[in-house]
Amino acid sequence: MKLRVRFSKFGPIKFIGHLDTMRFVQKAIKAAGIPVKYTEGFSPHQVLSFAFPLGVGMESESEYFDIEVVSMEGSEAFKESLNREMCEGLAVLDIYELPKKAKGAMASVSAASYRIRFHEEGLAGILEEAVCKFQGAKEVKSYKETKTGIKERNLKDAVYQIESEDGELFFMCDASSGGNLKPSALLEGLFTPYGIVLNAWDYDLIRTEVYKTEEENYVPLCEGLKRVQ
Amino acid sequence: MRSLALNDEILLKIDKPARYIGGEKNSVMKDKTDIAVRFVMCFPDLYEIGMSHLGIQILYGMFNSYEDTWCERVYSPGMDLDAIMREKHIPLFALESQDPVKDFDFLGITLQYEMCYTNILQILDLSGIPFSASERTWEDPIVIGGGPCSYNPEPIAEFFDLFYIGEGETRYRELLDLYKKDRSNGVSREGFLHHASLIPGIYVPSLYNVSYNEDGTIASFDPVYEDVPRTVKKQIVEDLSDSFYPTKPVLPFIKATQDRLVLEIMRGCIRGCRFCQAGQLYRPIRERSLETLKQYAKELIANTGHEEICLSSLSSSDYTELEELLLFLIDECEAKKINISLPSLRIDQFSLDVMNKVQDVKKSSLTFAPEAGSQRLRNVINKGLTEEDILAGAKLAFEGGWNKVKLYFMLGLPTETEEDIRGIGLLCNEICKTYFDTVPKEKRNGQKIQVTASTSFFIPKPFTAFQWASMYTESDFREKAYQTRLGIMDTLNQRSIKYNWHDTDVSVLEGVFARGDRKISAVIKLAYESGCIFDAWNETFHYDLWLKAFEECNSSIEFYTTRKREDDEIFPWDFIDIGVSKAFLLREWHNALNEKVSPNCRMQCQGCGAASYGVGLYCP
Repeated sequence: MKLRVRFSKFGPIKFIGHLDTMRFVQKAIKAAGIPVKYTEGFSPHQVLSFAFPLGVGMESESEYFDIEVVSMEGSEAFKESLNREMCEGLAVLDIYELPKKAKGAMASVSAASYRIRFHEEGLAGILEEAVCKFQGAKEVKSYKETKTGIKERNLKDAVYQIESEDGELFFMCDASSGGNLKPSALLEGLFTPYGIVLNAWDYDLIRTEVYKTEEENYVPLCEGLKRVQ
Repeated sequence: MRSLALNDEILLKIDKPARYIGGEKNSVMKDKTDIAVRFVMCFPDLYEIGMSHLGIQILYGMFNSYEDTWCERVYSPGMDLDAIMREKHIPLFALESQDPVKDFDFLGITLQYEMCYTNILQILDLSGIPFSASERTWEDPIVIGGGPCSYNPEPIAEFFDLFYIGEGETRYRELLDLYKKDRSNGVSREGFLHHASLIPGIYVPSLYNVSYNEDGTIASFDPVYEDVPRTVKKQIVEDLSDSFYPTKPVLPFIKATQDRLVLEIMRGCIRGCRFCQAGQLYRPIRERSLETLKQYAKELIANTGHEEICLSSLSSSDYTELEELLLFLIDECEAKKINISLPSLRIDQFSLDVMNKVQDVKKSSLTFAPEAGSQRLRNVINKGLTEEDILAGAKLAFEGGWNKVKLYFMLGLPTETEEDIRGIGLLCNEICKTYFDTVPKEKRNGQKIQVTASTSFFIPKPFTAFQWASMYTESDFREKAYQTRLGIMDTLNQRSIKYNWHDTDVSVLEGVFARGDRKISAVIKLAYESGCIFDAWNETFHYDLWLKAFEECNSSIEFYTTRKREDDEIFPWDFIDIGVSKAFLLREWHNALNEKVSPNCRMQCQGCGAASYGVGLYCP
């Protein structure tokens, strides 16, 4: 039986990178006594996959990983047992059953939404104007240095929704394996015209949801799944 | 949610911010307004190193089991953060509360190796605590040292208010109670230290005067007050099955150097290897009961979800119920998919069978520690391992499919000759020969025998039979390593033998600190001020700066290393009583020079003195 676990990550633990978070979660699953399935072979490991790595410094309201369990016995207590083994800042929100044929978490991800809170209060006015301009523009170019040279991209194609409110920026963008847009690239596109350069520590970056595509709509990764009771 | 001492900008710029944020699972938060004593425990090296250490986990767990005490942790900031903290005047902080170290009642520093001494000064410096204990006031924490290097605390005595001599489980409650009482009665810092010196195992350096002979050796070592004890007695746990054990260890987010659960099965060692300090310091031999260990293993696994567990002791093969313990662990761990990492066991059929069961055969190699190349020299050091033992063990292993062997040796042991050094190559060659004789060509599957010989340089340590021994110079060491290499190159199977050797400079310094006296603290301070730090790390070790510091302090390295010591010399550490007597060690020193082997504790008591504790497994 496959399960999809939704969790949040807040506070100091945002400085723990993706791989270390994953190692922590593996230990928590083991300590919680979840009957997780292990791979065969010399060094068996848990059948576990994270949907979308969360970068160092980023918080999240809604992250996902899939696990496979060998039994559903006691499943009503899975969430509680897991939460007992979590650390400060990590919390399991929901656990869902995943149909046998469902795509894995990682392959399903198509978009993600973010919220950005700027430390510099004076930015609110500029932000509002920049977002307005972005919404009205046909094309906002972004440049990314790659091994094969500078790659150009139209941010308008990658950003599906964008708005600002009370000095905070909300947006949803491409998070597919081929076209993932880094939030910092959007910020660059918004603020470079104003001669403003933002560093990662100039704002709080919170991922608010991770989406899959269903019938050409972006829906949360847990949409349509049955919650484990 | 806790707020952090470092801001996002700093944490995003430095390497491994996880080292500094705390919040790990099983770390302990308390309400500081309910707390009478705040203790911060320090391992003066990087987080990943310090988090691998069992001792701190024991004391951390024990202190936090006291309702009136909150124990936190601090490690050496890496060089990147060190620079930022100095530039921005950020005081060093404890991981849990993120409060400045200076605000604590106690700063405990564990002394696991000599090359961390400059890092102690970094900790004090960044905390804003004066280096010299004599300059501190009640505005500063009581700085207390413990661990193996506290058995000769003299080179760093100036930097500490107190040292705890012995195993921490026993006397800390008394010390904390005294602290609470004295603080509420408005006792002066000096008054508290004087009271503390009356607790068994507590050494207060400022309460002893040292005078020196003209040649620089110690003439006398006397307490300042009449009631201060002349000798400080090592404190030990009497019943290991009944002492505190951290079954809820703090779980680091990032990989620690030793990233596994630790099950400490015994303390002490029956083998009286004459170079080995731990073998004497932790006497008498005490075991944890099998039942206790089974219980701890279960709890450790349940409380952490860790994927690996290992046994810890000085010589696990000597644990009386090893077989039962391993069978239990194999059973328990197989079901829960936990790896068992085996300590270096004596190689015999049983240990090979166990290894076959728990380890990925393809990856593992076998380790032997003959320590010396010839039987003559092995007799001198009382290493009971013979060439026959090694070759028989290797033969069994080769038959079981192993083809990698690691060998550890020491160069510069007392009485060593060129022939002993040549013995290293010869022994490696014999092992290769055994492989070719044991495994026929058609069974080798294209695999080759691989022998790795590693040498370190012998450093005489306090409380060993070799505390009287002269150490060699750097150039002697280099020559010996060169001779070893030539010896290996000369053998028939040299292409199957790889040779590694240790740095010479660090060994010389370690030799100075190991047997140093109070005069060395000035050198350490000067070296730190001229930029020495993280001396245990190759990339930050600056031997030239150290040499300059010795020169400017008018201190001679040779006095501490190569000088011949007389049988009746007063050593800086003689005021400590570890149970093992100086008379016994001297007898062993003479036995060594006469190439005479002494039987181990189980075979026959040698009257070392540790029986005085009345709890040794093999003590009469």
